[in-house]
Amino acid sequence: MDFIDYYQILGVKKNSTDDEIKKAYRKLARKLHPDLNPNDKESNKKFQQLNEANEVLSDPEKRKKYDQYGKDWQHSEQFENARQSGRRSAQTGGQEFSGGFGGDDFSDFFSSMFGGSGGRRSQSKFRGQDYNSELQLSLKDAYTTHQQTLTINGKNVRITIPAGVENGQVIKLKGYGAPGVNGGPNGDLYITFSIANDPVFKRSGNDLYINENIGLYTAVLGGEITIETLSGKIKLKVNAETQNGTKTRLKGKGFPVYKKEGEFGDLYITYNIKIPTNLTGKQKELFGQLASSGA
Amino acid sequence: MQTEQLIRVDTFCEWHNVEYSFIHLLHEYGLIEITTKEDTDFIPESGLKQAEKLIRLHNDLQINLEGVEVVAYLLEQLQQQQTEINLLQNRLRFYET
Repeated sequence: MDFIDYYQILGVKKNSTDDEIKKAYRKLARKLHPDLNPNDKESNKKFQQLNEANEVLSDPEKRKKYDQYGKDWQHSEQFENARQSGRRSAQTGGQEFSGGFGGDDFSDFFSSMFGGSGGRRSQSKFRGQDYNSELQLSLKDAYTTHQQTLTINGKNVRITIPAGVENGQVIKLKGYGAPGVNGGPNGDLYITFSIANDPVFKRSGNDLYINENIGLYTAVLGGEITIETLSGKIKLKVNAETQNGTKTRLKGKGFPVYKKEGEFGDLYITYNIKIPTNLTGKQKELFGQLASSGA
Repeated sequence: MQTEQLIRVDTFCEWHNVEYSFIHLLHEYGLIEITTKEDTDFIPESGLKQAEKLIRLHNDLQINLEGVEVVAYLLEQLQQQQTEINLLQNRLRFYET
C-alpha cells in the first residue's frame, strides 16, 4: 500500500484554500465523471481517486490529520493513541471519523488512515457503473448457437450466444456490472461481439459470399463441383459455357437469422475460372485448332 | 402484448434521496418519461438508467437543469455517432479483405 498524494491528484498546492480545492475538484470531476466517459476504465479509476482526495481535503479535520502525518500515515494511529493517552484524564478518545456509509470505493490507504469509512455527506445511492467487454468470435462460432463461460470480476458467467449474432452487436447481462454505491443496485455488463473476418466467407447481414475456382473445361463444358459451406459440403451443378465472374445464389445456405430458428440468408458464389498452365505441345495444338475453328 | 415494469416516482425519489419536484422538472424538460396511472406517477423501467444518470450529473457535478439538458443531448449525439462509426467499420471490414 503506497502513500497517496491527494494534492497531486487534485493538482493543487499544499497551501491551497478550501475554495481552490473545491474549484479543482469540480473541474476534474466534470472531466472524469463516469457518465461522461462511459467506456473509459481509466477515467472511472481516476474519478474514484478524485473523490477520495476531495473527501479528505475538503474536510478540515481530515485534511489536518492528513497534513500532520503525511508520509508517516502508517503510524498515525500510534501517534494518535500516544497523544490521546497523554490527555485522557479529562476525556475519552473517540474514533474521529465514523461516518455511517460504506467506504468500499476508497483505497486501502484511505481506510487505514481514516478508519475505512468515507463519511460522505450527501451522496445518494445509485446503480453501479456498467461494464463493457468485448468477446471475440470466429465466423464459424457465430454460425451456431453455443455457450461460453466468461470470467467477470472473479465470477464465472455462462452465456448462450445465439446463432447469427452480428459483428458489433451488444448484449446486456443485468447485474454483472460494478457494485452499486450506498446500497444501490449493481450495474450491468455489456458484451460487444467482435467477429473476426473469415478467409473464405464474407458476410453481409445474413448473406454469405465466396469465390470458387473452377477449371476451364468445367466452365466450358459444364459439370459438377463440390463446395464447402459452413453447414458442410454440397454438390453444385455448373452450367456449360459459364463465364468468369458469374454469380450464382444458393437460397437458404447463408448465415442463420438472429433469433429466428430455421431461417437463413443466402450464399452467393462467384466463379473464378482458372486457365490451365504448363500445356503440353499436343494441348497447345488442340487449342490452336479450336482457335482456328472460330470457337 | 408487451408489458413494462413501472416504478413509482415517490419510491424512486426516496431511494435516490431526491425531491419529487426535481423528477417533475426532468420530465418537463423532456429528459425523462413519466406515466401517470390513477393519480400516481411512474417511471418506466426502461427510463430508469437515464433518470439515474441525470441525477448523478446534477448531484455530483452541480450542473443545473439547463446544463444537464445540454449534456444529455450531447451524450446522445455522441452515442449515435459511435453507433454509426461501428456500423461503418463493419461495412469497411467487409471490403477490406
